[in-house]
Amino acid sequence: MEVGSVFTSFGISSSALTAQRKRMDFIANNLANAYTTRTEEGGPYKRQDIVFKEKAGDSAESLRGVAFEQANFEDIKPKLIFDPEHPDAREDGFVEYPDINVVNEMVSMVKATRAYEANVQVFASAKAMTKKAFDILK
Amino acid sequence: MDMFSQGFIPKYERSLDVLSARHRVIGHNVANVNTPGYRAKDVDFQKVLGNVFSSFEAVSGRNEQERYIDGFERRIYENMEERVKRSYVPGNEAHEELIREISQLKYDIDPGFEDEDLEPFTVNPVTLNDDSPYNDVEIDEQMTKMSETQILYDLMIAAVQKRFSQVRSAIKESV
Repeated sequence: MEVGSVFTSFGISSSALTAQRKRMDFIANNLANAYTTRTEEGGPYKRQDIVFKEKAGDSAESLRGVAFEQANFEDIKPKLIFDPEHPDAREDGFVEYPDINVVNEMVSMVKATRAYEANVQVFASAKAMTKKAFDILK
Repeated sequence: MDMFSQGFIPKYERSLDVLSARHRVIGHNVANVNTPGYRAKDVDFQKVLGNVFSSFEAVSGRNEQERYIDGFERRIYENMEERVKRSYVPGNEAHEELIREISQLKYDIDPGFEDEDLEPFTVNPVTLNDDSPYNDVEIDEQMTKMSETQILYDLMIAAVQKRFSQVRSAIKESV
């Protein structure tokens, strides 16, 4: 066993931890901005998320865990709520709110949390195995 | 007899290698638990462990003492081969025949295992018919596999330790 492979195993788990944590950031940001009507680009806030992508080559040796990319949802139409008093109301009295489904975001959050926990377990297990291997020296 | 390159050590080494490879693959599966279209992978560790330990048996098909005798015999053949090769006369038919015979004898004694036979990285991607973004990683299945792998790994470590302590006590008792 080459020395690198032990750390590859750690690297796989940590890539997933990073990805899930990043996803959590996006979810938190979506929830925080669920009622944001003003953004720098103008218009209401648009939901953001990340998509996961496997990070691996052809052989089993080249498994590297997971990678992620930011996904923007530009095409999603804003949610219209009739509120003529609102400072950002359109001329017809409707206000454009971001189309963020709080329940969906919560579900994604639970998924990310569970996935994070699972990867922590794998990491702990890999660590225990590596430590155990040192016991051969005893 | 060279016990460190022919005895139990390479076999345990090989087993530990395949188990840690499997653990790595499972880690990769868990890392990709939310990746769309990802298919779970695995390593055929049972085949490799089977090969390792059946060759353990096959060398002798018998008990441990006899296996050591085989190792001793093998050593003799190797010695013989070396001597014959040293006095090798090019183009001498009888000589070449002798070399062939000896290496055959050596081969009979130790079928052993070849590196390529034990290629531990037989990753089997689960193939589904469609290209849907369906992800087939079952987290509880992966966790079960992981603890199974870890327990086997610990077991192998314990076995190696035991063998080493046997060797160590053999050395001590001789003094």
